[in-house]
Amino acid sequence: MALQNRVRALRFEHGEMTQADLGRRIGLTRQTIAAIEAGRYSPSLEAAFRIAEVFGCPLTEVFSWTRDAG
Amino acid sequence: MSYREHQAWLALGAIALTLGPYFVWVTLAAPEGPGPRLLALGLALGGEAILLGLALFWLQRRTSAEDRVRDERDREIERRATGAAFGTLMAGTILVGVVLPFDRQGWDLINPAVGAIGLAQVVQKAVALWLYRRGV
Repeated sequence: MALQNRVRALRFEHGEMTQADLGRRIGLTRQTIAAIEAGRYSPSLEAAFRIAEVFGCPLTEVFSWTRDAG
Repeated sequence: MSYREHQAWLALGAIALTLGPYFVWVTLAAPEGPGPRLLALGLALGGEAILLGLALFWLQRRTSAEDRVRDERDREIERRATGAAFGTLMAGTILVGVVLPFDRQGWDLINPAVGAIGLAQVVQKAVALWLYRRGV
């Protein structure tokens, strides 16, 4: 998987925020937050920035990208 | 399972319970003449609309407004599913409107047309369900 994220870890570091809470704050559903955490959905750039804003950290601390081997 | 996934399953169920029996009947036991066939087609299409309408109403009643919100992932899945359904519908249209009219007419054109529309619906819902499970 090329795109990794720390959304789940950051939620727990921020008072065990629920997926529903995070989703409500950035305009996404709980299912979409779950899909992002599981790597089944790559959010739009705007949603990614909104997630980073909620956690108060730069985008690169939430999402990282590595080139696929081959 | 999300609200949109429930919607897709209900739509597939409504199609299976109405168009499914219709095509089995058409294939195995349809009498000659337009009357019974027209009645059966009307019952199938009308039944699908009513069944789906009631099912969606029931689903809406038991789901909160917050869970019914459509976000960017829902829109992306819908876009891809509709694209796949469009391809299916185009293939059906070419078959029914260009190829079949050379040697068929009447119900031999109507039923494939209804089948193509039904198949496009099935493709749209099935692709959406697959994308919700597999990921976008």
